Amino acid sequence: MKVAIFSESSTDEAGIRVLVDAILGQPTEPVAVAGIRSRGWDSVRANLSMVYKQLYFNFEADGLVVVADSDDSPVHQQAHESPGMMLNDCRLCTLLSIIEQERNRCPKAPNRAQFRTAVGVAVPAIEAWFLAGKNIHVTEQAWARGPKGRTFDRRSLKNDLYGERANLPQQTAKMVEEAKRLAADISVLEQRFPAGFGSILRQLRTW
Amino acid sequence: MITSIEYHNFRVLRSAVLPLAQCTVIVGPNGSGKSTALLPLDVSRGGDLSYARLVSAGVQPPPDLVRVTIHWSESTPDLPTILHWERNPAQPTRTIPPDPTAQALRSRHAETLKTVRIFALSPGAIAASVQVEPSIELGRDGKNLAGVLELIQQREPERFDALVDEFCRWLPEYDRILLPTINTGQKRIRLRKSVGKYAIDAQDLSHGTLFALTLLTVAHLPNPPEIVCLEDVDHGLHPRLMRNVCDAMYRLAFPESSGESRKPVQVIATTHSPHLLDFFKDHPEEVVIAEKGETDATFRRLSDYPQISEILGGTSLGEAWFSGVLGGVPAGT
Repeated sequence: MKVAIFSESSTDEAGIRVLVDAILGQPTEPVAVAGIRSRGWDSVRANLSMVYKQLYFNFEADGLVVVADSDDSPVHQQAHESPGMMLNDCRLCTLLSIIEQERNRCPKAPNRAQFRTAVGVAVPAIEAWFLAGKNIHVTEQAWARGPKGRTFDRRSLKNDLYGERANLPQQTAKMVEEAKRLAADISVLEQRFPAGFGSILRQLRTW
Repeated sequence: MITSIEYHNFRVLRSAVLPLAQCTVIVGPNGSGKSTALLPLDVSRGGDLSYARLVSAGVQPPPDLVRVTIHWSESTPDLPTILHWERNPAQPTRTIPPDPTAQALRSRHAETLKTVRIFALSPGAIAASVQVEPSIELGRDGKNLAGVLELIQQREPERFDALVDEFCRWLPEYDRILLPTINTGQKRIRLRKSVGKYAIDAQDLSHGTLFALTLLTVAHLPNPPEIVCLEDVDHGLHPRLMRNVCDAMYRLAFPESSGESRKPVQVIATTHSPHLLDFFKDHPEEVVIAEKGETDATFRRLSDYPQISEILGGTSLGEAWFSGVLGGVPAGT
């Protein structure tokens, strides 16, 4: 199965792919283009439609996985998924909406097999996912309590996971190592990040 | 380490202070004094600058004095190095303090300044053949690269292998750096393609490839200078390689993070790349924004902006800089 991962870096892609493979129960292949990258939330939102269409029409991708950081945006709630309850500031709501819009817009392409998608939002940053089970305080719930109740921020998560100023190969090796740990028991992530990771898990299980 | 440089009537830097960290990246519009700010470091190691070349033509009446003050972290109390140029005589003078106890520190600073290297790379110089000598050094424009690589390979083969590995991670279309001796007895650089295993001579390589190889070589030098300045460090390189460029700078400045045991190098780089800037968001103390006024230019460290973390939020630093909200963008654009 050829799966494109739209993420911020090659490090993120390496870790996410390990998790995706674990959830799908089979190894996935990258599509025949170099990694698809975003430069933070603004570029994910601006480019997701284009990325979707490009993969849909021009590449033999079976699926697209999108992961963005929530940063300081509201944490997704299941209530947002009820009709008319989508929250504009919620990044998961925004990404799901863009995907839905493109799915409805794109004409059925000849010889095109089903194009599957899975979208997740890491709260507050992807490093949080890869600390799951190692730092019990890092959860979506803890972040949702607001700045006063938090014991971590985006920078501390990076330092906790990689150490200060780790280079790209060091970060990638660490990300993959932690992803393999989590792949052995994916429920650790599901429990701590039920909205942002739960979303990607539920969608991948329908593939 | 230099903590700051103060400029007084120094070209466009009529009254400016450049704050410096162990690793500093300076961004700003063209003509905002980024390269000018590095000039005094060149003068300190023997570069030639006269009063007439230092004073902006538009400054009337011409100032009696041009002064640059270099502040050091090791100084307690602060014992800066002062360079000044007077209208007469038109020669730089280094102030020597009367206090003999300060002499050792002064001497050490003077020695450090002699090691400063400013790199403003040129593809032709990088690609040129070189006669290898034991004392060969990388030139300001990248000349002697083949000789420097040859010495690293001879003296520290494991370091050379690490350099090759990293280069091939940056540009995976290559799998080896070759240093053949040509018929004049000189060394040349050739890169072997991963697919097809044929070699491409340095003169046929892209500018970006040559710049990448030179930057990585600086980052892997066994005994690098104490202070390295990298002009337009992103020049010719793809935006996706900016993370690698940041890693190379950090390898010099924070060697322990790359498993190196040598002394840290102070790195000062200039850039126009928002993509490179993105990687410094977590270290606003390492970012300086140059601002161009009508007749002068100034510097401001990103960490000195009030509530900068709150302002930036989830926005990438490069996007924020490009937007203009942080300043440091060309007027009228």
